[in-house]
Amino acid sequence: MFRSNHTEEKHIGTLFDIQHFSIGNGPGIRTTVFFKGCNLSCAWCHNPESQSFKAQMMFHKSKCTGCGKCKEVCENNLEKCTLCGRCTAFCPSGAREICGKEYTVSEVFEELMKDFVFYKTSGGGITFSGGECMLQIDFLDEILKECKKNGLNTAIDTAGNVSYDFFKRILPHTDLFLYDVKCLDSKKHKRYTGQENELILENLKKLLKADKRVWIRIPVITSVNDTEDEMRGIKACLDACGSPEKVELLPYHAIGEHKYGAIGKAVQKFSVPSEEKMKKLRKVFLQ
Amino acid sequence: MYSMLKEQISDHYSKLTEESVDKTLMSYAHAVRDRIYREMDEYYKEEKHPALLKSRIHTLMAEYFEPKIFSLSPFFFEMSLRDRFSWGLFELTPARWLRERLYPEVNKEHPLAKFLEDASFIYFQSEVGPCACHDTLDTDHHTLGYTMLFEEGIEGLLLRIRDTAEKEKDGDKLPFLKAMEESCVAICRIAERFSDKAAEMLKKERTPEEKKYLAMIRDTAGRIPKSPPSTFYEGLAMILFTREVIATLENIGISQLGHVDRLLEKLYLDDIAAGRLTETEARDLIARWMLYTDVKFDTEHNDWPEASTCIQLGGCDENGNAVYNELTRLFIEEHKKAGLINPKLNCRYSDSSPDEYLKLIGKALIEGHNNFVLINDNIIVPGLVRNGVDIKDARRFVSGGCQETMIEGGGHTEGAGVYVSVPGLLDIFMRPDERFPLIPGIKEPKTFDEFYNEFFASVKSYLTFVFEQRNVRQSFHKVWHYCPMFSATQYGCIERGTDYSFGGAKYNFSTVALVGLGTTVDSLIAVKKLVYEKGAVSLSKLKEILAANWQGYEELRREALSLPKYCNGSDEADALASRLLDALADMIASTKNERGGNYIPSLFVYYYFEYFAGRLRATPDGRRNGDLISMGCGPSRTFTDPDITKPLVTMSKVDFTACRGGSAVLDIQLPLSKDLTPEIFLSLVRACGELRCPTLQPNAVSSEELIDAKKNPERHKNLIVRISGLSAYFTALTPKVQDEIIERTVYNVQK
Repeated sequence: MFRSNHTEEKHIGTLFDIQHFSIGNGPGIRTTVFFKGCNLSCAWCHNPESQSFKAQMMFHKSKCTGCGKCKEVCENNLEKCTLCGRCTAFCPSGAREICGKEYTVSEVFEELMKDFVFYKTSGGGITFSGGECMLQIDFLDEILKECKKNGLNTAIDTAGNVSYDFFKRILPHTDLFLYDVKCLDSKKHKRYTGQENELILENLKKLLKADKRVWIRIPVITSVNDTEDEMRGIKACLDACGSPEKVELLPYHAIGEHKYGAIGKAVQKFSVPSEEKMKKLRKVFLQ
Repeated sequence: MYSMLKEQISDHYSKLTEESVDKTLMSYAHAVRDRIYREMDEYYKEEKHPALLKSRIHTLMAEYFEPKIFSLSPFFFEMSLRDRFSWGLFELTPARWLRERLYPEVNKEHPLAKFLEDASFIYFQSEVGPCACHDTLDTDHHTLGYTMLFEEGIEGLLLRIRDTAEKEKDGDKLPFLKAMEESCVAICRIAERFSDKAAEMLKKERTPEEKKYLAMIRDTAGRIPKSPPSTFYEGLAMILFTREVIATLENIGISQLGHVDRLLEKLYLDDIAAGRLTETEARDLIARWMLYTDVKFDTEHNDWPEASTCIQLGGCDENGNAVYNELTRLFIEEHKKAGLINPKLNCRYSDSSPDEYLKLIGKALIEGHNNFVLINDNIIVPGLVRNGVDIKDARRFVSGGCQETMIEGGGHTEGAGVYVSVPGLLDIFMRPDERFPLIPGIKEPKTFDEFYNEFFASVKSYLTFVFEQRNVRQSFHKVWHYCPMFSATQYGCIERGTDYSFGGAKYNFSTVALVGLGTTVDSLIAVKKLVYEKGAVSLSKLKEILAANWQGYEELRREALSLPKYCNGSDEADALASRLLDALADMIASTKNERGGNYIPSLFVYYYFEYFAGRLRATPDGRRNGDLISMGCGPSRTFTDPDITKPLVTMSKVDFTACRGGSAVLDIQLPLSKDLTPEIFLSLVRACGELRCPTLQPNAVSSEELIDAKKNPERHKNLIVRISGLSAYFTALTPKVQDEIIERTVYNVQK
């Protein structure tokens, strides 16, 4: 087993998952590290548990057998959660789960190196995602350096709503940016994500001039940005900024819907765009 | 496509079962059998040598059978003397006479008959029996020496047989040589009769297409199999004819149609170069050659469409050169285009296999053709060499009826003769059962090492007895199992004048399939942690808890479930698996079989993980009575970890060449996703190669589709899934098997 010789351990990161054999987040076979915490709250977010910076309890109602063991072992009778983890240990069906765990750089790095052979055979590597991974910039910077020191390809999956200084710090250790663009109208952006988009677009312009590989990712959400006009606007904006290597249109999916209930949050429903519509929208970027 | 040919085939085979309303075909088969039985009963009065009796049956079959030719196929192979749905051992064939007549006699007279009867407790008649095996011999899992047939033809074999007989001073071997000669003459006669039949059929009015195919048969049958094939068509005809006819003559299952892209490449290229054949014509021949098995076994409606029929592709030739050519592509593409289940596609690969080959497989798989296994040459070939197989012979290995390793022309490896449930042995060791006196049971081990050593000693004691008993059984039964025609196609049998069942072939090892490695390792880890390291429970208490099926001990069970597991990122568990497999493999490989060879282990399981699981009580890893156990060399089924890389990385920590060529199979369920591309599949297989993963059995599925297909079968008629060693139409499977497939872990690729 690979043992990290990283000894500094200055920073601790809070993550909510490390996904191996990840094939939708950059080239090749990758491991995606999901950071906890985001400064956007997109209405369609398929990882709503990523938004809070703190660890939190998730209760998957559909898995609960109603045995009552959780209540029995909880010191607070399930009324106030201290994240002690007793209920999760005793739950026979895995209905209770603590989302979010602190890691050192070495701990994460050892996990990443387990799949070295898959990166090698596929041209893959590591993708840092979230939440917004750049909001834990010190931890991110440290682990990116460790990855590059060991020859791993690195990608940052970001919504871009952070100071460009953060980008500057990680540019030398990052091979690829997966950059989300949701819509151009700032008011609409604020309505659906909680934040305006000026900083995001400004950062994108700078990044595209920074001689880095950039893939633009556009989540296609019905009634929010699923029009050819919207796509044409985004395309014009991108054309003016520079040239990203790739533009990916990602149709909304409802895979994460059940997780809203698990963290006690109301879900906003969207319909899945048709394949036909996706084809039309993709065509805009081919013109 | 080919609907009229399929109709012809279907119509014929629908009558080749006892259940058929139309009795004409079965009446014919019974009449031929009865006639030959009567004549053999007479002949038996003067001739007692079993080999000569068998070859006499072949002569009679050659005279009395009625050739069946499908007028829309250029191939000739059907004697209509084997039941439609059987493989391996056939009820109908007159070849069964030898068994019918000699079995009762040897059974009655053999001094070890009583011993065998008394030893029957080791088999699966017992409700907790940890062993399942054929009651006599493994009559399936044979492969013909196709390379030899392609080089020499039957006439070449006859020359060598006659030459050996001439030089043979040892009179004991002459009867067997004579029997081989008679069988070779008989098989040539059978082919000639197909030619005659085609000529006769041509006298009637025929469509141009029928005329073309019947003329091909008329002009080829007879020359094939007598002479080596000289065209691509003749090569295909040679394979199908010898495979089907020798199975019927010998009453054995021949699971392999050969390493077709290696065997046929030169003939194909020569034909193309000479302008005798186009790619389109080659595709048409391949399609007609492959499609009959599925129709015969009615795979569209069959809930267990086992046909024990495979082709081998890829890998390398005897000199180690990679095999991948136009034919590899044509066979895979035509198989997919026709939506076939059979022949099974057993694809060998190594680091020298081209990317194009692996992407071709990946593309077909992702498009729903769940029909592949990928066999790593870099495990099987060195494994066979470790067992004393010459490197050139090792490189000619093939796999079948599922993934049982065989050396083409190198004898019979008894790929599925014995299955042993290793967690079943642990169960009886921990909770001794008077029906299993060979497993003395636990004493009072003070450390885990003592526990492990006692367990291993009990496994050894049990397996030693199984092998002793098996050896006696084999030598007891092989008397009625003489196969002079099959033996003639195996290197060594002619020169030694000895049948393959008596050790005449160049290689003579047998295989034992070990079932449930993952569950055993996890259970051993649980004992180590809970009893000896944490002191959470005493050994005697643990036995009580298992007897109670964990009821009332949920907390401890949770602890057991959360312990390190094999194939789950635990160095400790993986190291224990390696230690256990090495020791088991060494012990098994040092045991001699009755043919002068040894035993080798394998970790393929067919569907025995389900069979044994149903009889296995609760185990220390937290598994409850009857829950599923691990499949092949993969992880236990008591936990779900959606991370595919963990079991694959584990493969690098266990040396599967310890199985000496016996196959070890890892099943994986890949989720269908837009991101699962042929390129990603290629990278996955390359990683498997680097990780020394033995045999990969992939399914690319959507859980949602499987669930919906169970509820609404009419919407998913073309959904093909890999079960374990065979594929099937999902909607034709029984609900129980459907549920088991739905329950398998589908690995995550996206969040």
